[in-house]
Amino acid sequence: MSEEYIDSKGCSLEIIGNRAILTIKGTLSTERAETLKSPVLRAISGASEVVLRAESFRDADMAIIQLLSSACQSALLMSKRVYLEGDGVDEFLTVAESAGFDRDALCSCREGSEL
Amino acid sequence: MSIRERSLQVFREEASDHLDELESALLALEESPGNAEIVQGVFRTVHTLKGSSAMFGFDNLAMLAHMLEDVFDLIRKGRMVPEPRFIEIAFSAKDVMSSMVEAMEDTSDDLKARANNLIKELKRFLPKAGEEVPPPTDSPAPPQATAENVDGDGMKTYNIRFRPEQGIFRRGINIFTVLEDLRALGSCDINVLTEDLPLLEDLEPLDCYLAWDIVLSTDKGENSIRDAFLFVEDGSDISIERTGEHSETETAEGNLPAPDKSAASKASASSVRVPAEKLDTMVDLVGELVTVQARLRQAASVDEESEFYYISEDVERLTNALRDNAMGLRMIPMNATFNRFKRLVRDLSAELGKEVELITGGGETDLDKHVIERLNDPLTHILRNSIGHGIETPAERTAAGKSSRGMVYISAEHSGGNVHIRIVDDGRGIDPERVRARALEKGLVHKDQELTEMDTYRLIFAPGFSTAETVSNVSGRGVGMDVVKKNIEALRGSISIESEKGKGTTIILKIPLTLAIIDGLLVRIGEGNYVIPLTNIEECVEVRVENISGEVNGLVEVRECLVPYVNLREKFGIRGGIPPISQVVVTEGNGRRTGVLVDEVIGEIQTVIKSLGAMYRDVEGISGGTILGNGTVALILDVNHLIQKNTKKEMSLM
Repeated sequence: MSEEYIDSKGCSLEIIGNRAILTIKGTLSTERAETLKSPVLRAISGASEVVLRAESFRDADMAIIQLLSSACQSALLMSKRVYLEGDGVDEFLTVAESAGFDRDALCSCREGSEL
Repeated sequence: MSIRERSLQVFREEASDHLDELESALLALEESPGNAEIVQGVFRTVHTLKGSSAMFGFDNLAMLAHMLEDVFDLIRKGRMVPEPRFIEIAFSAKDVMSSMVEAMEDTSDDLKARANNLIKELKRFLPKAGEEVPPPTDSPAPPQATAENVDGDGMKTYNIRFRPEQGIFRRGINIFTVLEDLRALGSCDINVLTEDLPLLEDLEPLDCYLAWDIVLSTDKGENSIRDAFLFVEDGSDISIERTGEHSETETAEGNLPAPDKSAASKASASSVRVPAEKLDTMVDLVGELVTVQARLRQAASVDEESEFYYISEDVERLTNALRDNAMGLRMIPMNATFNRFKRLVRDLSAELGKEVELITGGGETDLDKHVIERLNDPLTHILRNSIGHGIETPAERTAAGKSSRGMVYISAEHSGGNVHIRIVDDGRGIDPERVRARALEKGLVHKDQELTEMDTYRLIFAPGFSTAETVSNVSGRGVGMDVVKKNIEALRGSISIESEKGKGTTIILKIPLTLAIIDGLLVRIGEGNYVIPLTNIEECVEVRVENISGEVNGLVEVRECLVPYVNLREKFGIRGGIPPISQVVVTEGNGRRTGVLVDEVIGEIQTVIKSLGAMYRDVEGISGGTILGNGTVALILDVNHLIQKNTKKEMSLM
């Protein structure tokens, strides 16, 4: 098991075997998208299964959706899987779907399921 | 600064612009209540304000804008006439919204209470639930009002492609709002395009790589669709096409021609909003560069055939071009300032029971932003005085054989390195006898003192002077015009008055284009260098010491005329005597000619003005300093002040 702290906002990355858990503290605002790129990238590089665990997905906006879409494409290319965990994942996906994102092909992530 | 803070700053600037537009439009609407174009413009402005304020969490502001928008919707549909009572409420709503934007909050008890009262007032104009909407009035209803109804009953399908500008996330814009607005118009099929979305490694998280294809079936017109994109249209690619038809077809059917958004986008994409502080910093740096360049030129001039000299010439050329460009960046047209005064004149004339029309001219004249900001207060004072003192009541005007409606004309025009601003009114003019009587009463002049008309008018600028019979909050406290003069002189400008009793008054302000750089004449007295602003100079004349009379302040003969002069050698305590052949720089300020006696005129100089700092702020006769090419300091003379002091001295000797 290894654990490394990623940023000053309390975002932490924990890698256990093939599983990386990125715990994201605070709200998922546009500004967060900028600071999340690096830890998400490290999580995808470091494990075959990545769990993005946020306190809440309710404030996630289009910049976060774009980041997760990009992360999902990157993970798919490397045959890796990404999971979303946290409060409001389902609502988040519904919102993304309403903006035209394909839930099954691109953002088919449900709580604990593949992205 | 965080993205949120940056976004709020942009919101504040844009909302202020929209509120200024709203005020101008309301003033125009008051003049022509049936003008459809104005109504449509107000509707769009208020709609934009509503959306952006809601987006940034200013819910009370958004609610007030929403209510105003609803009433304007009735007007544009021809179901209501913008009667004076409504216009008054709309002005009040604008004022409250301005206060909210200014304070960057809309939740204080005072603002909330004012907004709620206005919302109640505005609701009275709207049909109550279940009440039938009144049919279109016979008033000159805006044709735009029916634009959406032309094709209103039938459903139409639009193919929309929306590719936001790359930096849209940084502006804090919520794209969901756009999509929700579109969904609210009808049946909407939204597909995101992610072809341009890079893999995570190459992703710049705050750049937007997404685009949307939207198929919308709606009974609304294209204008309603475009309204949904109001906050995102700058820099974004937005195309709206009716399925199977070209947009020209819609125009032929009588729908509104779609605004040329591509042109608007191009125009806005070609301009960038930059914080004023950044421009100031750049202008300061360019000022430093100009100083260093002058030193470089001086160092290089030792050998005018050297490569070093040629390079210094190139640097000089580039520096001059950069300086002119940098100065141009801070130049803004006076239109916005003039438009603001329309409201002032409207409110003030109503308060005083007068009829006054403000006419503006030369609003496109550019002036340094800092100068314009510092002109606001003096111009406000002058206009208040023109309306309070100058323009008569309708009854007085009619009795004097004038139109009951008074006129105030404010104009600006370039004149060399200056801008001349004229404020002309057709009021009662200034009565020199009353001014003189008041001046005597205040002890400003002696009983037997002879005054020209110009001298008499100048008394108006004396502290505490006022001829108003009663003190009101408009005029009559006598604290206005002396402050006006001080403020104008602080801008290195001058103010003069022309008036004719019964006909009106003209006030002329001469203001330098910029405060940062000055065109001047470099002169030497003893071992010190001084700069006299060129705008004040009439001519330079060589004089022999025997033609100079008086030791400190006397007269000098210039072209067979005696001109009072200031001996700076005496005034500044400079050692040494007057050389046998000296130079008199004849200056003009406030309508008076005064000579400045100097040892030598070195030549013209364009120089960057430096503040002397707090310690030397009160040194009389000096307005700043500058660094010359050889690294020495030259002081910039405050000619208006020197003339004023000299005139006072002359008067005291009478």
